[in-house]
Amino acid sequence: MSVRYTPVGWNANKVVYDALLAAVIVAYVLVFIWAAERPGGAPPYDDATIRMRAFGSCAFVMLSLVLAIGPLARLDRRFLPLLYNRRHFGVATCVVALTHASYVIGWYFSFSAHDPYAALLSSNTSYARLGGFPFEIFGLAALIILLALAVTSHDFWLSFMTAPVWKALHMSVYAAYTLVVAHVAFGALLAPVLQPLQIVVPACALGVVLLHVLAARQEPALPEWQGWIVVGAANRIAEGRAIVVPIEGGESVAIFRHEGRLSAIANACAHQNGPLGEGRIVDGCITCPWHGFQYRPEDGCSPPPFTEKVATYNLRLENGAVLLDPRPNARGQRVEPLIVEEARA
Amino acid sequence: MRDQDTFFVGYLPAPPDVRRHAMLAGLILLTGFVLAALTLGRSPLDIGASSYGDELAITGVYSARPYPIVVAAPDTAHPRGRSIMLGGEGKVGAQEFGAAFDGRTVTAKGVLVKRGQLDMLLVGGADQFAAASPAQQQLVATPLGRWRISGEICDGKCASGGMRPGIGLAHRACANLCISTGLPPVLVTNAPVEGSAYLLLANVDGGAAPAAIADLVALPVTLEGELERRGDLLIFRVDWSKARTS
Repeated sequence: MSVRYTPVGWNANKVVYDALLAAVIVAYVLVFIWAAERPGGAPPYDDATIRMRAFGSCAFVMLSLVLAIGPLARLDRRFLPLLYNRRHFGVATCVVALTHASYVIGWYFSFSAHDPYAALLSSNTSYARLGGFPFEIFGLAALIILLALAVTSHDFWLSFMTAPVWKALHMSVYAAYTLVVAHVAFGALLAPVLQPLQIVVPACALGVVLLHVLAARQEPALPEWQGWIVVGAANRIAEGRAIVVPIEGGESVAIFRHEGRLSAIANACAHQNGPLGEGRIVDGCITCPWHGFQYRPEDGCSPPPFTEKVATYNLRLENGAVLLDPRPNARGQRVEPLIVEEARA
Repeated sequence: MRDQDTFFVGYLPAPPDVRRHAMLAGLILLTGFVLAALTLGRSPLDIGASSYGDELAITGVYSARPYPIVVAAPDTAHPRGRSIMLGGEGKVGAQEFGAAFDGRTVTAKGVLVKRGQLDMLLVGGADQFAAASPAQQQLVATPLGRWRISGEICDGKCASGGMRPGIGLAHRACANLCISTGLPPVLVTNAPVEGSAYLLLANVDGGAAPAAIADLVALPVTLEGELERRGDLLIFRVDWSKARTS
């Protein structure tokens, strides 16, 4: 958490994360080039094309992983450290994709009297047919989205745009991924001989979809009684942790237990809509699992000097069952925590 | 509290078990990427060996149609005469460089690109052509009849080794750009035709292929037209209205 903007709020974990990320990218590209140059034989690709393929495939694998980290962290909290610096992963993916594009422009569309960018858009205009469709346009569109996301990835833009707008913009990473899959499907996947890429790309895309489906099934709907949602027995909630209750409109509420008392707040962190309910109580505050933003359980306010706030919700006990009022209070409105029986035992 | 110890907060020192899991995840990530690179880097595609960079001077009769070629007189290595396509350096046709020599005997100097039977001489400009004597007799094209031939249309420069692989859909836009700048289109045939796997493509009237060829490049196509031999080069004069993709 920070009350002022810095280009990157470095800490030890981020340094290790970025160093590992750089090592992974460098290792991938070097090993790819080594494997593709087919020592002792006649490689089917020239040097520029090998690098084009190395960076392109690396960007695809990285983007698949960026999208997989979220659901993986929901399914198994041991993946949370991968999620912490996911924005750097995304920006690195954009840089790798940009390198791929620069090789394409510099090799396929240069060396003529035409402007390379004009040549990119005009050399294949068979938009009316599937075979030979100008797949470059999919890659270009995906790259534009990735660039927009990379440029606006800093917290300054998050604050400037407001969290809902920023989040909506950054959800377009799914559109970018779809475009990248189309880019590969209409291009490299249509190679005349079976290539490993033709197996790896569909496998990655299916894996991303499957992980999202599995993660989405983590929050089953609960029954209602007189307009309140029946959460169940209080002992479902472990000390210092929460359960997540879905409500109407695609929102959800996190009910935390802290020192034998229950408090309910919106599940979406004010920072990046991180899942607060998958966080913990640390030093008396609800702590977001994504970036560690903190909120007091009783009023949903970040402790001073921070100013973030989330909505609170009302709870009550009825015949030993915890009930949740799905109507939110104002952000930062104090609600007296619900004392539960077994905490005093 | 062990429960809190297992919770990762990015700006705090990572608890030991979280650090252990993160290191394991990092190791798996690194290994996974290396294995992915090994898998994706290898390709079963085999396009044969090619060479690029040998300097060559060839003397023969310059012919501008359908695309610039020089046809050298027959010798023991080339009993039908050696025909070589001409191109510029970069994505540039050689039409302007040698236009003044059409039908005349010239010596053309340049860099040879070659893959299998297909080769092309890349000339840097008009100063790479010089009139040569004695004058050679222009070889008469030998008609080989009407053919329907299947294959893939590529640009002659990339297909002959200017790029590798220089074929396939991923290279389609590049091939279109090359052809649009005057480099000759070729048909890489599915099966050898009269002993050759490459045909220089022309219009049915013997001129350059039409611009509409761009829609057919890099796709499996079947073309129909008149085949002729000029030197050791096969030229396919295509009736483009009957071209089909499959």
